[in-house]
Amino acid sequence: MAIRASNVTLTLGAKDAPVQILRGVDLSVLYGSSIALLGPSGSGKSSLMAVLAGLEQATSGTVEVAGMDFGAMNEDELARARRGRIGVVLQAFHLLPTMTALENVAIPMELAGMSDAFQDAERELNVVGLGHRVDHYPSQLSGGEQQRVAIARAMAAMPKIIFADEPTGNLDSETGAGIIDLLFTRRAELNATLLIITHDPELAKRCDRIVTMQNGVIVEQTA
Amino acid sequence: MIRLWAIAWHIARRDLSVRIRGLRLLAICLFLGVATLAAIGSLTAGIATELSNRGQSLLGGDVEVETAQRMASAEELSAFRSMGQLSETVRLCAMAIGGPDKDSLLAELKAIDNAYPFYGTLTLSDGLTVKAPAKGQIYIGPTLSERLNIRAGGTVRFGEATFTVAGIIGKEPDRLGEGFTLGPVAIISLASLPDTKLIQPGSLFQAKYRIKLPRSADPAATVKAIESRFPSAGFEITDRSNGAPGTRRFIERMGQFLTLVGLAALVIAGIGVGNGVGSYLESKRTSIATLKVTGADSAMIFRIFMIQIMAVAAIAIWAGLMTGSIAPQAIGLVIGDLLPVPAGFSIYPVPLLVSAVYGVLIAVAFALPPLARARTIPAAGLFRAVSDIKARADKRSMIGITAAIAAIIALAISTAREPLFSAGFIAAAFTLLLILTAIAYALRWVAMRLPRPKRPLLRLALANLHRPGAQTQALVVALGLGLTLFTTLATIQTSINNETRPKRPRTRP
Ligand SMILES: Nc1ncnc2c1ncn2[C@@H]1O[C@H](COP(=O)(O)OP(=O)(O)OP(=O)(O)O)[C@@H](O)[C@H]1O
Ligand SMILES: [Mg+2]
Repeated sequence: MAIRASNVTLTLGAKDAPVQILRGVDLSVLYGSSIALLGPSGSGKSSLMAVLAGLEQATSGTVEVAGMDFGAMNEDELARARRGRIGVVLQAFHLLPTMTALENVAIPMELAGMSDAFQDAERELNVVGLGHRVDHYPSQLSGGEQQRVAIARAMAAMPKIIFADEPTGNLDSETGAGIIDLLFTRRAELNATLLIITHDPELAKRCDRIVTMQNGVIVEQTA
Repeated sequence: MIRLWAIAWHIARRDLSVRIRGLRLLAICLFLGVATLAAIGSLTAGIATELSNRGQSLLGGDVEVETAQRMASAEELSAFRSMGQLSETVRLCAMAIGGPDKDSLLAELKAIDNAYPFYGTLTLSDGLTVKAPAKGQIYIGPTLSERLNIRAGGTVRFGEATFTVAGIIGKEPDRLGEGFTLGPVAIISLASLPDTKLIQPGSLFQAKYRIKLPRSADPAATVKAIESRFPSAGFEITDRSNGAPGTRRFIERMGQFLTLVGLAALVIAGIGVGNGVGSYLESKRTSIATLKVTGADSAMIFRIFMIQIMAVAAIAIWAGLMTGSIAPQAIGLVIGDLLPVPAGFSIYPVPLLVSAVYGVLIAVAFALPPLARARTIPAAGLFRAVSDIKARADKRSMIGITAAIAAIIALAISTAREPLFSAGFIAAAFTLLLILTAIAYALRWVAMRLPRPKRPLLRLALANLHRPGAQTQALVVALGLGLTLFTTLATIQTSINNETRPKRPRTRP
């Protein structure tokens, strides 16, 4: 199992006004499969992804990702656990504005202590079709290009699991389609597990499974 | 460990090279603070060195024995002569009368012998180097010449003797050693002194016996020898290591005042560093969360931004040291006349080192709190807007902050001329900080409980005082500190002015 979550809850906010965001989520994902996460705004999709990617600690329940017990880890241990194993692509790209495309892609591998970070980064940028823009800064790139860099950053270390939170949310449909194609091709090449949040039912159909959330719980799963 | 720092260094350097702008406030404050400290240290060291280098000429000998209201006895004189060469001068306050209007002016009459001066030269305004004037002749200072309108060749009367002016004094070598004087100087030969009939029983005068020792002799030992041989003579004995005690005292006062300025500069630099680093890291929130998402733990975040901050700090400190070390020369060019001696042209490593250490400690002490906050920025922050960060610094950061502040205090006290004075200042500064913080808290508390005004602008202004993340505290503290320092410096300046201004008696004694 790439992901095994059971009875996961997440409560945030001040002590005197706690907000229950996840209310007991059970989810298992096989290695190499792809899952689409659907649901209305505010239903807790991003929050669940944050917990499964080890970016947020669950309030209760067990979270096992790539054979590691995330529940037993603190924030820093989670950060180290992500290295080389988990790639994240977000709606707002989130590239470091002060670094070139190449440097942005190299970061996760540098942090993981890999020796050929820059070679691998360049290779990955070629794969996503940006071999000619390696020295450009994010501000010099279009939204679609920035998202390609973000995908390269998530993929370069060849992670086992990729999380994508509305990766086309900030792009027009044509550019978005290209990004989705890239994401799916690359995932297939790497044989990585993909969990993708989307509002687009068409896109969801390309995944092996569709999971729908509502009000902090999973309400429907279709294969 | 080293590998981790190497990774952090690679990332930090790339992130910084693009725009150093964010840390400008840090750089400016550190630069100003260090430059001020280095300038003060270099200037005081320069003047002190110059004073002791010139000790011999300032004193006019290796050892000086001063008597008041009496000349040395024959026995004393022969004892002095046995120690080295002897030069004798007598100084007293007297009325100078002369010029076309027969004006009078209180002057400092100085009678010298032919041995004067042992060190340095007595020169006239035309550049001529001279010895004691002939009997019946006098050299007068430029002020006297101006005020009484007497030129060379004119005459001036002191007591019952009339002298012909043989020249205007250009440079009196032992000027500083004489301390404050009541009037302009006039020099006659010792042989002319009795003619004035000014030396009477009960008249106020000082006689100075300067001894030029053989090279091998130790001035301090000579002082001791004289003291033990004439224990009840009422001598005031000085050696060349302290050529101008009055001036030295002035410099020490001055140094103390400047130390205050320096400490104040440090506090301000610290606040600037804290705010600069704080807002820089605030602007980096998203980048920090992104780094965390891509696998950086909080220690790595700390390393990356510590390196950036220290790199900018190092550049600022270096520039501050450069500026501070040439400051004595610059100050000399602008207000050289006000200084007792020009500060020697050289680099003084000790004050520079101390300033650099201060700079580093300030940077560490004030950058650590915002850094400690930054490392707790959660990775999940990218997923949502509001994210609660822990306000408290972690244990290791707290230890670091405490150690740095302790080191600053220790350094300030151990390098101070008057440790108690510095300790008092630091304690006062701390109390002040506490009071200001309390005021800021009170302000927020009141703003929170005040009824909401109807006018939107007022409501907004009031809300800004207590909303989460409001700058109320920092502002109140910074403003309060600034104001307090300003008043303190003004007060000290005034009292120093009063103290150093010679107190001229209204009437002639
Ligand atoms: N720090 C927080 N404190 C309190 N509540 C929060 C916090 N962060 C998020 N929430 C709430 O948690 C709920 C779930 O948020 P989440 O971002 O997971 O939803 P989502 O399904 O991803 O929505 P969207 O489709 O709009 O992205 C929302 O109601 C949100 O307001
Ligand atoms: Mg979301």
